[in-house]
Amino acid sequence: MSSPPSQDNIPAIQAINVKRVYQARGGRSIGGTKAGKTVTALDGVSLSVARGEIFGLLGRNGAGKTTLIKIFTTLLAPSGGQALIDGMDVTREVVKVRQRIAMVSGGEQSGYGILTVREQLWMFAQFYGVPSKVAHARIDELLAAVGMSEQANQKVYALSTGMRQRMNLCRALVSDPEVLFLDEPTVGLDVEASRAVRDYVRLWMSQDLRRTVLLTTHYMFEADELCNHVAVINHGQLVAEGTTADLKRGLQEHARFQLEMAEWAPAFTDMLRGRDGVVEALTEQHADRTQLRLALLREEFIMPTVASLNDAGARILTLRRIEPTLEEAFVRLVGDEAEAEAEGGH
Amino acid sequence: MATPISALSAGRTRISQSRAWQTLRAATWLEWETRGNWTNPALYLLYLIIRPMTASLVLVLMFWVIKGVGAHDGIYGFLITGSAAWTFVEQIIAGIPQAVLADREEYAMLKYVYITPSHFLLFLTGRALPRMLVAFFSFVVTLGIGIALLGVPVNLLQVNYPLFFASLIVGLVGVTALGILLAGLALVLKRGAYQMPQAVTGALYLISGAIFPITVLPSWLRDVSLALPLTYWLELMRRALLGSHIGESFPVAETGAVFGLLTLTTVVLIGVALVAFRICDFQARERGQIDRTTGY
Repeated sequence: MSSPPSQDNIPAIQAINVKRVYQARGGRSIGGTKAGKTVTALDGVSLSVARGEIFGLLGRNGAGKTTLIKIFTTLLAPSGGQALIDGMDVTREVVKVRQRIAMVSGGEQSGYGILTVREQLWMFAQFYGVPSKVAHARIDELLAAVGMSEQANQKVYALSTGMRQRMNLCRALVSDPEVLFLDEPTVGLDVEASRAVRDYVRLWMSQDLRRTVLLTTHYMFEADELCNHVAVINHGQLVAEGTTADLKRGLQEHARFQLEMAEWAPAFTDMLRGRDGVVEALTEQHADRTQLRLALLREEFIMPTVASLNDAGARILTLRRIEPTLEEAFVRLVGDEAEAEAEGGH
Repeated sequence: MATPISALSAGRTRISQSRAWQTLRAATWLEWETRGNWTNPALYLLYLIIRPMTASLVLVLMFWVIKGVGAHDGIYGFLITGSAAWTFVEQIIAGIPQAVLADREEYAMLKYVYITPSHFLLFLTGRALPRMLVAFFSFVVTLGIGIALLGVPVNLLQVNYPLFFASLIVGLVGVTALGILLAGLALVLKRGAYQMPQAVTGALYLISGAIFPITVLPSWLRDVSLALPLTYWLELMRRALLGSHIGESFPVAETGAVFGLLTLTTVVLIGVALVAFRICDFQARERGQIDRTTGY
């Protein structure tokens, strides 16, 4: 790219108190200022994404995810606050920002149908100033990477939804962007196509540490699988941010474990309940084993508790930490309305 | 899925500085592909000839109804040259906003083009270039048929070619500016965006002297007409092609003065179009309309 190299200490993506208000139908102008109905899509969102991260933005429909991506990609002006790419303001340094970014949206049938896949990718490379020779080399490698070499000379209109989305990913990457925005990129794709997209995003990120991805998704497993950090947005506000593990653990007041026991006596339960750090000990009898569920004040209490069980003569077959899923964390954070949506997403 | 992407990074430092030229070329190529693919080329060729010819013949027939079959009165030259030249206006003024709308509504690609670092106005200009070529072909064929069948008094040996090409170039710049202005409006209009370019073209057809001299217009409408570069452009095209056969249809007699007015109004129009487009572009970003599919 012709733009100067990025400085590593500056966040690749940064939102500072970003607001976005839409005038809804019925809004009218009074004395030069809009009055009437307004819809607040973003209400003071602040977040920071370090270079090299895949950052997940989670939220239900209408939460503000796409609005934020539109602002970062210069498609939409913020009503307030500041959105920065590599420290550059998206409203003031538009061309410099655009040199660094690319975007892929899911759930749409975009593409110039009459062009072939190769032609479409070449054309976008031209818009970014990539020389034709370099562009064709990139196109060959990108298509090979997403398993579309055989479709290179196929017209776009003849592509399946999954193939079209892979092509769109190539279209975004043909300019070698530093920051990639993926707005629900696997919506409507089958399992194989979704996996191909996710696999390639991971591969692409692993090839250059300067690359950064902001991903919005409804699929919690996708965020869990891809993202280093996630933020949850609800009604235009960030309600949580951290690693996926942070978010899951944030739900748990106590550390929870499940143990399968071969030898068990009811007295063990009483012994456990009397121990320091044990909040709860529940058992469930099965034909050949006993399942023990423990809630501990902190994670580090597990080792002395296991040792005491061993000393008492219990035989432990398996031990595992029980963690909530990201989906459970999401539902807890954004409320019950999201539950049906999350289920629908699967 | 595990192919290494060595070439991806290889080009990072060798990005061409000629992005403007590349954008213009790619946009021109895109328009050529989209224009040329909707039908059989032979059928499209026929369409390019028949459309302006039909429009001209309708006017000739109307003239015959009023003046009697076979009446001539030197009006064919006026009608045919006006109709032939109008193809440029139709192709470009209507074509540029249509490209914006098709990219947004039909191909869902406008947002992806918009967020590239290429200059959007160059992209739109590139979309106009193939239309100019198509219009030129249509212009030549229509004029040829007019000369052969209706006796339009164009003597190819006496055409003022320098004036013709100079007027054509300045005129096309003005027409492109108008197309860009309408493309800006198409970005922000919710309803009627598809109809707007046709409506504007239709109105201009009536007031810029395409089919009758502007001297017949009411004085206030003539003032509007005199503010448009199209009026001077059509007049100059006729003067270049018809020479002395043009008659006394235009209030400004001197060709040099008409050309000066064409240049002046074109420069003003370019300024107005660029400002208007910038405002519309800003408004579209403010309102979130760049990628909004209206469905109208």
